[in-house]
Amino acid sequence: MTDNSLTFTVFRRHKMRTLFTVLSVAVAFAIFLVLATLYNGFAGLVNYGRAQRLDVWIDGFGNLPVSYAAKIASLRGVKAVAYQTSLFGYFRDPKNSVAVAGVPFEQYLTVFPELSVTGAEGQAMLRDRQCAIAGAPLANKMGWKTGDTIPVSGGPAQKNGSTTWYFHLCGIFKSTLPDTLMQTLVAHYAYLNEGNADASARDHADQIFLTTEDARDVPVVARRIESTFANAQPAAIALPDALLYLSVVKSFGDVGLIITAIGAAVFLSMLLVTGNAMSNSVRERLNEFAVMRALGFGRGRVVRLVLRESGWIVGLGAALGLLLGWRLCLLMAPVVSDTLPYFAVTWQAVAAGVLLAALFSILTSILPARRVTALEVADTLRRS
Amino acid sequence: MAVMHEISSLCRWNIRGLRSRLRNACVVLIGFFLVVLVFVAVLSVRDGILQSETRPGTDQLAIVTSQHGTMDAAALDTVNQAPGVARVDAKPQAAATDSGPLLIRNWRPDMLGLAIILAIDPGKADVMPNFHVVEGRLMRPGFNEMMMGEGARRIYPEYAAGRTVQWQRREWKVVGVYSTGSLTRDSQFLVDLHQFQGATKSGDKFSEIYVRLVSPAAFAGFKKYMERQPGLAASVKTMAEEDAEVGRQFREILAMAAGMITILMAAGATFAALNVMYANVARRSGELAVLRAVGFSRVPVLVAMLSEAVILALAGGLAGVVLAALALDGLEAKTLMGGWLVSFRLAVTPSAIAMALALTLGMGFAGGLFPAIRAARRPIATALREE
Repeated sequence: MTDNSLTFTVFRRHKMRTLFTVLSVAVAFAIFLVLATLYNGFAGLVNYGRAQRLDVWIDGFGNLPVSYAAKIASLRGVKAVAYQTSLFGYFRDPKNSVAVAGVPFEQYLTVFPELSVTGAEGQAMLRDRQCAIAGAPLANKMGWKTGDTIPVSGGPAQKNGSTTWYFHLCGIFKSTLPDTLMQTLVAHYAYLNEGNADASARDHADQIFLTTEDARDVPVVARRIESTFANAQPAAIALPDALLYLSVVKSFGDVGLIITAIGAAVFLSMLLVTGNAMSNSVRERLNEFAVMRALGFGRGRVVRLVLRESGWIVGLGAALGLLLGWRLCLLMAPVVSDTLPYFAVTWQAVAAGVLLAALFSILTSILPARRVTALEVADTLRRS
Repeated sequence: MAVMHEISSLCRWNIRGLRSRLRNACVVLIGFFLVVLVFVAVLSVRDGILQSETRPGTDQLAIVTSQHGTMDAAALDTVNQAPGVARVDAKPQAAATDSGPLLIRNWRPDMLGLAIILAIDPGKADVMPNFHVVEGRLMRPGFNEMMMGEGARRIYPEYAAGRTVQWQRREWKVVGVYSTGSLTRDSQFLVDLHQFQGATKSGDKFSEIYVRLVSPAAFAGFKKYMERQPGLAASVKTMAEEDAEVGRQFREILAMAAGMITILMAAGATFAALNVMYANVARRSGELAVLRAVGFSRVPVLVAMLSEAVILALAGGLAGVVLAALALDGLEAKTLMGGWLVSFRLAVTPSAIAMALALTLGMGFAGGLFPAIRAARRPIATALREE
């Protein structure tokens, strides 16, 4: 008879108790995963910020002259500069709104290493100024394929009077960003800029992005940029990307605190439940453990039996719970992901769950194990 | 009547015996306690946001915007002649407003603050529902002075009255704190519209008109009139609608999280109760059989066992509700919501308490019923023989 089969005999004897204990552990781990995923949704925005990247905005309202980008590129410590102008329109139906970003394509990919295209797509992009690259979620939503010509209506008037802009879809971005942040169609700045009939709207950028040679230089470069334009009209603000997104995450502050508190409450209660069930089960079987000891089972082996019992209960419960939590997160995703783009189950969260399960099973078996080791064999047998 | 008597004596006997099962009872109680605590806590966040959104007066404040982006004095004239506009001393209660972002740098280590500046003629600030000065005074027209909302003061306590804020290459002196009827407006900063237009070089243009109406019912007529005006391309909504939209998604997430976590936790606590109650029934099958043998019928045994679970649940639930109400009600919290940094107070509402207690009762019944049935059904002879 192996130790495992001994454990299962115990489980079979108290089917109800085993079932309920496993289920309450499962509940705890399902909640753990849901909360960890929610937390990731709040905190994950930090990942969007890059240590080496700076965002330059206008100090006030309106757009920056695109000539600022060239000035910034010539500053010491700056590695690459990109800029963006935006066009908001729709594809065929006003309900299918599309945001188009006009950028200098090669520089844009340097500044945003999160995005990449294949070599062939990059070549195509260089050949055709009407080329555009979409994020996979946007292309899927609209049903676009590489090679399609995409009309985007409702933009500013072009030189020929039309407000419908045509783009050739030359590829799909590969990206590590969450789907909600990949809803833009990225086109050539030159095409949007030169096509615009309104001369006063030309040669402007909503934002300028840059990366520095060294992440440590970011604050210095930010000051350098701001002092360059301090007396220019308009003035510019340079904000470190990482700081920007860290601020957003910190602004969620109290919500993160509430989530952590709930997680702690749930774990505490589940530790209590499982610990209690384990110690009840051991207390009722003290005479059985005494018999085992009398039959020649060593202390260590009996303790291992107790550990094995809680290991099975917690292991099964945790596996069930993480699975359930994962399903629940999939259910929640459509409602939540607009507000929390980083709402997704991560392998780190699952790994943390597994680690917690191991800790949990050891913690819940400490008291029962001590009880079993402290057992006086002869005394216990006499009493039963 | 005999049954009632039996029930009450059995219940009393059962409760007296709780002391001997103290540890198990505590586990059940703490389980229920935590479920209710978490449930009420999440609801208090949701209701806190809801309460600050639905403050009185916001449903009779219309906000007029133009699809052209900006408006000028002509648009304000149109509004002044529209039906349903409230008048004080024959003066229409309509105010031109504009707003822009205020980046607060070096606010906290590693943290930027992004607030909204609302620009309005100081003499017309009371068009906003329940507008009043809480501390200090109104900004003066023609001066670079600023007021902050109560919510903004909670978020940025460093900027109390007397400090200056850098904005648009100008120094703005904070001269007072105001309060209005709206979650979002209270988390803003307020400046004189003319100073704002000067600082942002927007001429005499502005982006929104706030209009106090004679009653919430006047809104439909006002909206219809405004949206029919040629050349204005106006769209009109109430401040209540706008505020609700800001908090809607956040509330939906909270409601969903509350629902899911509560269902899961309630299931967990009920499983724990079932576990303990089944163990109880098994351990006490001897005494229960003796009771049945001396003439107690099944129903009183069932009620006594069931009441134990329900009483434990209610005790835990009440403790949870009381603690939540004491610790959380009125607590200040701030969060980012729809791009706005807003401040609000948590609220433990009567309806949340009622729901929590109903939940507790449900969990008590679910955890106690099946073990109680088993206890009542157990054949007397078998139970006594095993003993």
